Amino acid sequence: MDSEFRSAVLVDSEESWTSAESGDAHAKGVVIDGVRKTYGSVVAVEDLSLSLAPGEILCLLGPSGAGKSTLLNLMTGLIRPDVGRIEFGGRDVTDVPPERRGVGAVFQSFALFPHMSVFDNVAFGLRCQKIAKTEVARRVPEQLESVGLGDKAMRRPHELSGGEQQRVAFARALITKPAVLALDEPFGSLDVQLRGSLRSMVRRMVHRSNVPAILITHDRDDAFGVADRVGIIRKGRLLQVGSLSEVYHAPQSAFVGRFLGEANIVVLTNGQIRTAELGEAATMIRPEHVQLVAPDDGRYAGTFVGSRQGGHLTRSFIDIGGTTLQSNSSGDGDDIGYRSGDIVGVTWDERHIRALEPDPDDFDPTEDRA
Amino acid sequence: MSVMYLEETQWARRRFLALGLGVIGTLYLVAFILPMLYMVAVSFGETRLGTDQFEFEGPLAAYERFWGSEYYREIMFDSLRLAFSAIVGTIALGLPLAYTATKGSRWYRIVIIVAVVNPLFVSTIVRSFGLDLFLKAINLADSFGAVLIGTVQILLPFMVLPLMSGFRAVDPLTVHSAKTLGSGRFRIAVQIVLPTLAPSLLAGSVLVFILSMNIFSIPLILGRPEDPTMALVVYHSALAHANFTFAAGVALILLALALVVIFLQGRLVRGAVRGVV
Repeated sequence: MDSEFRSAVLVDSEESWTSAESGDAHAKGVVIDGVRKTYGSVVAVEDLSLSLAPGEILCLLGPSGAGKSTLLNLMTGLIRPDVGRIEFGGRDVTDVPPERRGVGAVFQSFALFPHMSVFDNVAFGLRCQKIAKTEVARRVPEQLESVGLGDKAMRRPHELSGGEQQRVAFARALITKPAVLALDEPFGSLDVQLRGSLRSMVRRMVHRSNVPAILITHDRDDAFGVADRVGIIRKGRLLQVGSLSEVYHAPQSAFVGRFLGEANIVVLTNGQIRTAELGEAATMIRPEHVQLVAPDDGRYAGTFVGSRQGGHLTRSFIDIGGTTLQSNSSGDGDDIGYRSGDIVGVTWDERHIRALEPDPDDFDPTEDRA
Repeated sequence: MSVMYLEETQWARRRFLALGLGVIGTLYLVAFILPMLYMVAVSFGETRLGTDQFEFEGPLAAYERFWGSEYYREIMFDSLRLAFSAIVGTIALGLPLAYTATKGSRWYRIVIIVAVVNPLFVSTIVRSFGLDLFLKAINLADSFGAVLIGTVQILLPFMVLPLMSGFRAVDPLTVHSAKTLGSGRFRIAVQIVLPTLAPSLLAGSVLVFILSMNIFSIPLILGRPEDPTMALVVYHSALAHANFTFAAGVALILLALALVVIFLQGRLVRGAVRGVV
């Protein structure tokens, strides 16, 4: 049975999960090529390469300290790489200072100019470019209208709500038609309810302006809500880049698999199942693919430990010879039908098993995960 | 039980507060309000001290003598000139010092803070005398410049310390945002940093103004005797001529000038704060 899984896994793993990159499109977007940045003996970013097409939103996910902010500072030009090249729109900007790079930056703390009106905040970039007054007077209200703040032009930032301030920040960053948009945890300080509407606004604005955008976050809901592609970054290294579905369904490693969602990371050998150890090649089965069946119908039989209602889904836990498997079913509020101590069978479709590369030796299972 | 306990602690807190307010209030009344009222009375010549050797020439004599005399008006303008020059001087020196102390490395910060604040522990008289000896050696003593150098040196901490908190209030991300939007250094300094710094600049300026108007050991030791400041006029009138009426009058004019400046600062800060908080 195990060898069957392996072969199924091999077939799947041969499907390339690096995204189909069309070089021409990316040449007009963003190219980051072999960038490395160290602080003393600490490597913040290591041999990092990625590219974006115009209008594409790449979401870089990683735990704190993964090097996300360093990468963002490399893009905005606050710091320079030790090695490597950064291109915006086909132009090498590696050694170009921030004020001549054409990066629109949006930060978690908004970083609006507190003593300027909303209008002056948004007009700031145009005035730096010495755009004519009449054009400023035309474009700023237009831009404010497009983020739904047409009536707030004369307000000061502190008179606005957090969501409104962040919309001003987006309007300010995009009005200069930047070569790239760098978003640093832009939803991090907002209410969870607000994030949804802002995420769709960001998607709409980025796609309409056709500016490539890199969004840096540790919140996977940002990735699911905004991103066209997603990259997982850890300890300065880009582990995997691809479409949401590629990275979610075919993660290369347990770290990536766990970062985007709940995952059973196990080793299947000789009809047995056990928890994967550190640095071991393992397989992943998402809990939503683990079905509970009659004991004789399952691939494995185990003891039902319990279940928790989690809103849109119910999480059940089954103990199979000391290894706990999680099974998620859509939460319709009904009783799952099993009692703690019941013997149940578990099964899954073979195509849902993913082979994982071993995590690096320095993998710390307690590392901050979203 | 717990309610009673709460009430007891509340009562204890209130008693403590009342005691504190009582002590402060008494001190304020006895050591500040009453002497000031008494000084007002003295300045109008109503309550003449036994030692006062001057004739009573009407309630406004002190003020008439001050305002009516070209000599004293000139002294007032000289004092104001010294105060505003000291403001300019402390700002010119204080801005780079405070900036380096805030944004520079830890060592810069420690060295600057120690260098700026340490002289506060040495008596003004001792410092002025030392400076006087040095300036005499290089032929710069007994001049407006000497007084200005001494005043700026002594009042520098009162400008640097507020400016340091001002620079700390500048959000580095707003500066970074301005850069990414294409702003050069000058625009960042004028449009982003200066407005955030304005309340600190004002606070430091008011402190330096009031202190330099009232400082007297510096002009006494470093200045030319024939060009006294207002504070020196008070000092000489009271201690050398025992003309307490006139001394009190000039002291109250000094106080009035300080109050005008504090009032103006209050208005300006309210204007600036309205834009930020």
